[in-house]
Amino acid sequence: MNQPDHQHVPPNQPAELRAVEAGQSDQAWLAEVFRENELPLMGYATHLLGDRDRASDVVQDTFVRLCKQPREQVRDRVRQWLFRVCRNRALDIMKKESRMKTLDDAKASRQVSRDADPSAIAEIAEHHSNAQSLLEKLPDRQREIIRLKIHGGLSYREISELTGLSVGNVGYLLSTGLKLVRNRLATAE
Amino acid sequence: MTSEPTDQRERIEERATAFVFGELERDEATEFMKAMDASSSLRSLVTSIRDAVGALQTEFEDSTGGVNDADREKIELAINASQVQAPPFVMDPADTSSRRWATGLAVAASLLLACGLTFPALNQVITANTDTSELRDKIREIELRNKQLENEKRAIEQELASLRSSAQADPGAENTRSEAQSQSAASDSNPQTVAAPGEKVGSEETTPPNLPARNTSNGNDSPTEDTSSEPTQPDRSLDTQDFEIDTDDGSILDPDDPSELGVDPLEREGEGLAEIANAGEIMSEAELMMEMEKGMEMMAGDAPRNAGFGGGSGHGIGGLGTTPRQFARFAPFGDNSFVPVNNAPLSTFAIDVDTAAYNKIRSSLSRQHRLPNSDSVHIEELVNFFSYDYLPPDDDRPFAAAIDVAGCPWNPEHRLARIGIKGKEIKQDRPASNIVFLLDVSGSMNRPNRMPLVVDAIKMLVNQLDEKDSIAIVVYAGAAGLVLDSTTGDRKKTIFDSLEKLKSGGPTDGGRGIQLAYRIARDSFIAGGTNRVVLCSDGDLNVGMTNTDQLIQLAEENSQAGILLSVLGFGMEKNPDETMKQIRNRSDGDYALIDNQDQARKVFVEQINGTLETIAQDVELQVEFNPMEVESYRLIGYENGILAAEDFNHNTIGAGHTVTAFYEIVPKRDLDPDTTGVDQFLIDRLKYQRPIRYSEEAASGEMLTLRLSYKSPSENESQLIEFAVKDTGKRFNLADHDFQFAASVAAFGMLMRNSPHKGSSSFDMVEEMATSSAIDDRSGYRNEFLSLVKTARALSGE
Repeated sequence: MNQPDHQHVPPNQPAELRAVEAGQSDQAWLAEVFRENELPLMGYATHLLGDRDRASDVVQDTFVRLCKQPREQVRDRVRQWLFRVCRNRALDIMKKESRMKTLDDAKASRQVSRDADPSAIAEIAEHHSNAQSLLEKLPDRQREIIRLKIHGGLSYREISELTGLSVGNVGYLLSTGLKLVRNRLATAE
Repeated sequence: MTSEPTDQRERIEERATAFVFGELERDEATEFMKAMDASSSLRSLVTSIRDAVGALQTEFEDSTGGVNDADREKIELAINASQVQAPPFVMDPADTSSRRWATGLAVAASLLLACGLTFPALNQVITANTDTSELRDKIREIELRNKQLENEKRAIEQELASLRSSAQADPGAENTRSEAQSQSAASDSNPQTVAAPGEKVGSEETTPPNLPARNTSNGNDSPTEDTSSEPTQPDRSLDTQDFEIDTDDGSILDPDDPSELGVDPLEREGEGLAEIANAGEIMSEAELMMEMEKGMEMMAGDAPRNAGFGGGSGHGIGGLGTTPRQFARFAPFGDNSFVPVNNAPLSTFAIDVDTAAYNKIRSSLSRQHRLPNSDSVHIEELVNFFSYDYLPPDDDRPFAAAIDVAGCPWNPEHRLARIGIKGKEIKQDRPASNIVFLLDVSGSMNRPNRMPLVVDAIKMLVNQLDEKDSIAIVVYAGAAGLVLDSTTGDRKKTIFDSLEKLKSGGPTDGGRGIQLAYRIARDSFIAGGTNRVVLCSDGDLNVGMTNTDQLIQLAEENSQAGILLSVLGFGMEKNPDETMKQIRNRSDGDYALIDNQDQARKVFVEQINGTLETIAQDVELQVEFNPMEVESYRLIGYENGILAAEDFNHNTIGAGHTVTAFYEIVPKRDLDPDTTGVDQFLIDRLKYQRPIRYSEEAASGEMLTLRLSYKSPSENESQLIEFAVKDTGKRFNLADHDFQFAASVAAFGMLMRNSPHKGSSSFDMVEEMATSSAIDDRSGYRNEFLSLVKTARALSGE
């Protein structure tokens, strides 16, 4: 469904919002961090856990932890911190449920699909109504990276630190993953 | 694309991807940009990567829901506990409003609830790799059903509103009046009792309301036929229904049995309320109160103005039956309904209209390939997105009006009045401008009072440009990139499209950016014109120079070559820092701090011609309809028209300002002027009101008068201008191109909203109207609109 439009805020925004903007108090800062990262984190956690309820739980836990964290330790890299905690929490849960998929599988990074031949792509495009669903053909890890970059806005280096892949590998996985979507867009037009 | 997926090709793609994400080192980025300059295939590769990223980003954003309510509460608590004494936590606005709205009708509520439960569930399955297309269809189906329900609800509310207004003015159908009045009296004194008549009527219904049946029948937009067990005229649309009810003397006008007129609407109202009861939902007292408040608002929208007759505040009808947009952009709202002139002769609409809704719809249709949420469709924003060639005033007055009346394309019985207002154009012999924007798109700019302000202001500026001007956009964050190469000012679509693609993210590093910007400014240098690099940032003038002296030096050098630097600081609280001052002192450049839209517009426009001339302020606008010509009218769009007093009274209108509104008008049928309108029943019985008589002017044949009150910038006294128009009986296809095109946009909006008033509108009709009127489309927008219409038709399966 529709998310409120973050790009467009009417000029007469409520005072609370403005206080948040000003970044004055700790609390306002937290509220803003939450507002900015709630959806990317939810998207990420849902991707990892495949389940919105558990994702919500993990995201909640992540933010509650953030609130207890000494501010100066996280302030400059809060986004990275949030994704790291979120990821660890999600992995914990999956471990507990012994549902570790390919995520910690070192081989995952080598499973990248290099078979981007045009006819296969066209076929994929036909069966997928949007860009996101195209990605489902890709290995989990590659999808995770795409999500971290595009929805989470993390840098290559941050993704590398988070996932343990090299920066170069992150760039490679992103590039090949996006190619799939690009080709679809090209055929759609 | 070749079939040889060589390593080299892959490496290039990797580099391009890294470039798009701002991940290249500065030197690499420069090198890459040089390569881009030389290779068109590389440029298109970069564009296609940007598009893919954009598409994914939009989809990620759209398909992700927030945390559960329970988790949200926990987070709120934790945030609140993190520090004592701070402003209250801001709830997710969409959440609140949709929940509140859902209480409106229990039927809708239960369905919305169902969606709320199924939707996330479906979503999660989708990400879990199952068969997606089928599920997506299901989601769409649910959304569609939801939308239909909303429309249903809207229709009922409108009937309530029109019934209430007619109940106060309609002596012909005594039956209706007394019942409705007792009902409204009850609502005044005791909200809870109101459900009673509804239940009563509802229980008299032989067929209980049947939800699925209503849903399927909703498509034809005449709830009357489905909900009433009385025999009704088969072809009557809701509009004519209103028309008939609202007539002063139903027995003369309407061939139908007047008593049917009396019963029918009430019954429908009763049914609406009965549905609430029947749905088996227990509405809390508070919810009921809220419902009643809504009802009272609707009445308040009518009654006081009616009594005043001419003394109205000018605050309009726009608010009728609508929810003000106070929570979220997509707060649900109903379409304005037809309002009888005898009840409410005055109407108003906003003089200054936002146009963001059009961009939303465009991106929904062309990028996401789906129909927009009907509550994101604000018709007035669509109509006003396009520019129209109204003639400016030829005298000293600040405004001219382009009012015209022609046949209404979607209802042959109705007339369509277009009110275009054009502000005085101040012809300044402005030199040609060559402007290069250098935009900081680092993550910190991604705040409401930063990037969106920049984008808005650039659009505003672009609207002032023409073919002799050129504009280019360079961004910096991590690596610099050319978003828009120097483009002449008449190619507005190209320019605006590039603005849509701007995304914030990445650390600030503008060193190459500023040099690139200067280079482009030099390349498209206009001798004798204004040549300027405009740097927009949120204050970190960390433009990559190792120290600010370098920046100042660069500015100084370039100013000697005739290219000035303006530094605009967004969302900054601090005083301008030393760098900014030095730029001004040493390079003839200037700086400004911008924190709101007004400032942004003013400062940006100053970049080209020195000043944005204010032509008028505190403008109020009023449309009065002549009851001898007009039976009832409907303002199309402007539903969010409950204007805050300050918005309304403290506006500032700049040179060349244009606004357009449409009224759909039910003309008065030919009647003896001596008997119409003057209501013998009222004259005889009313103790507190003097009888209403038409003025001599009513016989002038004028259909409506537009009144504008304003203050000149230098004066305190309000002045008034009036424009009146007669209906010459013109056919729609004889109206001017702007009229036809704007009407096609309005019809498109009604289709997108599935408005109960869309009449015979269809995508084919919209396309036909727009095609014939999209000639000479230098801006590129009208043609783009045509392709959106085609997309929408395909998506809606017409």
